[in-house]
Amino acid sequence: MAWANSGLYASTLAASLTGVANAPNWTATPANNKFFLTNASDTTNFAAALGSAIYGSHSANEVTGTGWAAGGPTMAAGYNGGAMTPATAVSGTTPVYMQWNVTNGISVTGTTLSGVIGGYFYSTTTTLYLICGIYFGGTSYATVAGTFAVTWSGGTIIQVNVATSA
Amino acid sequence: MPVDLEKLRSIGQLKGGRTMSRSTSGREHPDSGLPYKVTTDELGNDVTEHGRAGSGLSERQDVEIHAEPITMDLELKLGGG
Repeated sequence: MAWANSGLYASTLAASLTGVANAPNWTATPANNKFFLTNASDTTNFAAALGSAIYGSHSANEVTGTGWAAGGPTMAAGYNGGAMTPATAVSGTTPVYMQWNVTNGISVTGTTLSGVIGGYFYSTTTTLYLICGIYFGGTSYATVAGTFAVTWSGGTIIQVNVATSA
Repeated sequence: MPVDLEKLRSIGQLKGGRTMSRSTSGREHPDSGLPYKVTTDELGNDVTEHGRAGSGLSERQDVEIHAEPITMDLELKLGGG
């Protein structure tokens, strides 16, 4: 369906848990994990089956522009706010969370973009697996020679409530 | 007792609250800085316009998305049933 919410790609998560070849690794290869933007015509389909070149099904609606190339920035490179530095963590005791975190959010200066409504983290390790989609909201956004930034409170992008108490 | 339907229709309406965008403006530097205007929309995302005085701003525009984390809750049942 069209952008309406954020979500994890279940088949990709399953591939990571079961050790499928070239499945995304959140922390070990941050240079291989990137973030691209799409417009309101894009469909998320978080139920998509695991497949090769899954990024290609969204590229028709990808948003690119000055300062933001196709495919988007990697999680390893330094930007205005520094490298994202991905990490995983176990947090809390009531409840207990397993988290996908980053030290810094995305912050790219000198961009001119329009019609941005969401973006995807994906792995470029041989096979382009989508990891998750981030919905920005019901309104599309635009920059003019400015900074496009995405930040997460506490740096937590994904969290799983694994138990009500430790 | 008769019910005032007009009053009932107003229940839950927020004026100037979290369902509306809000703007602040100022200068990047108190004396010589360029003016700016920050609009925080109802989703909490910021759009900041920069421009010279009298230009109507929009010479430069920044966007900062404040994204919510994706949260998954496993269905936990007593006894694993």
